[in-house]
Amino acid sequence: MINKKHIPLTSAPKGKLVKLISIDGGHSITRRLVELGLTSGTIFKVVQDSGGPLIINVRNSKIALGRGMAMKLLVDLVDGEE
Amino acid sequence: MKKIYIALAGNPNVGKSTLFNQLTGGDQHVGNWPGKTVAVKHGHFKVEDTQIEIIDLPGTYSFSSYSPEEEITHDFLVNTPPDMVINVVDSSNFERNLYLTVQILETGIPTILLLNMQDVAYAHGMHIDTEKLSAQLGGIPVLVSSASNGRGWDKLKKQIVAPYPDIKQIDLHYRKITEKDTEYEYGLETASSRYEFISEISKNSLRQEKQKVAISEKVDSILTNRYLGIPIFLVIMYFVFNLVQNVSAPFLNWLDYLFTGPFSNWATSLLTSANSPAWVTSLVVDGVINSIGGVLVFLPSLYVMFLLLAVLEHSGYLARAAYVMDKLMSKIGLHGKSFIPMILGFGCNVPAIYATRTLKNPKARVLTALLIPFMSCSAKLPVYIIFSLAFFPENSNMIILIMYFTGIMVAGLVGTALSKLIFKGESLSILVMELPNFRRPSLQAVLKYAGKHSGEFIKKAGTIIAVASIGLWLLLNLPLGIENPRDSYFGAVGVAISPIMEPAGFGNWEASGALVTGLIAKEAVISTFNQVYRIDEIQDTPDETTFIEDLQNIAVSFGTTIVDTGKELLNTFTPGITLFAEESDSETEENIFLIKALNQSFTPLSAFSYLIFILLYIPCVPTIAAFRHEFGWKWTSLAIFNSLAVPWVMSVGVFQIGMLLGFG
Repeated sequence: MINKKHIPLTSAPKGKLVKLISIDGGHSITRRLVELGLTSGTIFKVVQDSGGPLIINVRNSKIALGRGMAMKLLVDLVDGEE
Repeated sequence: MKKIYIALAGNPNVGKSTLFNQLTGGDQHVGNWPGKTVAVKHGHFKVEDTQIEIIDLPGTYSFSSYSPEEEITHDFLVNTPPDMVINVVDSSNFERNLYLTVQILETGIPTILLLNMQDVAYAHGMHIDTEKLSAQLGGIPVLVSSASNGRGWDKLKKQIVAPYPDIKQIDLHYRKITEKDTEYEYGLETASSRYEFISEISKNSLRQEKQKVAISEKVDSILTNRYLGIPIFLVIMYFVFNLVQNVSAPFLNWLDYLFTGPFSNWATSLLTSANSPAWVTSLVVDGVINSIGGVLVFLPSLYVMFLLLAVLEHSGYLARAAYVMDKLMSKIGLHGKSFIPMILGFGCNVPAIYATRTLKNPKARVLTALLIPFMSCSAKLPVYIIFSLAFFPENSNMIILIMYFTGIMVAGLVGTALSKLIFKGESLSILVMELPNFRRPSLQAVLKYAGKHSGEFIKKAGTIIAVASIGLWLLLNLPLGIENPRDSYFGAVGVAISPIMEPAGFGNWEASGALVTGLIAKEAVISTFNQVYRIDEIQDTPDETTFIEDLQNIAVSFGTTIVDTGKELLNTFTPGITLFAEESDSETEENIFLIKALNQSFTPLSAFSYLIFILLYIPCVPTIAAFRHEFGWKWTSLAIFNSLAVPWVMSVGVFQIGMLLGFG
């Protein structure tokens, strides 16, 4: 069931907080992302998007993510300050 | 005498190696984990009366993923546990670093948590309560340090030999794995539980000041900006190359003087007074001394390049550069991370080939390595310099820049072609890369890096080049009794190859022959021309100087060199009047005979096409050896084919088009 609120990370506005809902990737990449801190429910934000890979700030750590991968992260927009 | 066995564990980029070097001093050795290509470092040190053996585990984010580094760390800690683990953590990246910490604590091995990079954390407005943190982790010792200024090491050493406190083993109460679970799902669940635990810890031990974060975010958003990112990178690269060339020039000249002057003279005097035959003197002085000197002369440039690369990497900037270049790289089917080994290729191709180990995908590794030879290595620089001074004296800097630029363009084209033909256009990897927080590089670490890589280069290149030079000398002077170098074995090889080079404009035996010696080492190209044209015989014989006078001259010239280096350093940062005009005059002076001789065999157009050939053709033997070592003969053959076909096509193209356009 697709919840209309969920958007791919690539559609998230820069600088706004989002909450991770799910990762639709292969096993090894998903596990890797989870171990880097992208667990379900984690709140993070996109800090740079130049049309290629994204840079996200998750748990105070900056990670560059290829665009193809970023598209597979489903998130919800979140209100308020960090 | 007590003896304990410690392991260092932690994420990449946390200053683990700096700590390891600091603790062990020089007392360490590097090997490989059995069956893997991951390096392992062992070392020793003493604290009071305890002998400590320490092993530096590879940097990892966890030990449950499938990479070799993570397997090694896991196997090591589980199967052959040390007496103690020092877990080095980047304080400014606190939560994610703790993930590995939790896994280490789950093994039950006594652990000291070292919160490194305190200075960076502080700059980000992060304050960590070490007592609360320790309590939540069961009471383990928690220490702080700042790698870049060496604070905290003494406390660490004392803690290592102090009795280990009784700790409460943390237990996250994972539910037991059942038949219904897949290992994958279960793994994800445990990972999430760990992060829930870590979030709790963070809430209780970490206090964050809001405004300080903003500054570093601003800097990063400029460096990675869609429009500014690449120009900023180009400016930085321009400074790097400027520093490498100009700042090393005084030392380069001084070393050149040492070898062609005092060293050659002393050797000649010694040998003549020992009544050795002329050919022995010639072999030792021309064959060996001047050739080794020809290599060592470029050591300053290499050293400076490695220094600057180390600064760029340790500061964290290279990750931003890789991000910025990712879009361009993806057009050839690679991603930004491939970019770093390529940049290293501009210094020397050999470490660059080994640097591809950081790429996870084996296809990406091979493709990156295949393109590295087009990154014009520093050994080719002397050839560009001499030829551009000889044929394009007004525009020599421009010509050299064109060479580097062409190399990159060709790499892009060849990469695109290879990617489509061989790798069938599949995207070779997904970029997942950490951008470490900016930190001040530790001077010690940077110097060590530069020293190590320069040393390796000297060893490898020096031995091979010495052998090659002797070989060349033999080829040039045999068969016995020849008058003209053209009649030597070397000449025969050159004559045999020259028809192939005819369409490229340099179908003469000297130029073709130099390409063959260039196979051994690119520096050999210039020394070949020197030997072929018998330059040493044409030059003035130097004044007779006494040994003492020689020593005095060496000391004085060394002093002048230091001063000149300082001047060049200043000049790089103040684009105004440069002293380069003087430099090029003196270079021209020294090489004036070589330049005259070259004019006999080349025209400006053929010189240019020759440079193109040199830029693109087979890298030296050590590079090929490194390639074979990493990728095997199949890929090496492709690399060799590439480096013969592409340069030939390009230089023929350049020459023929040039002729058509009337530049001949």
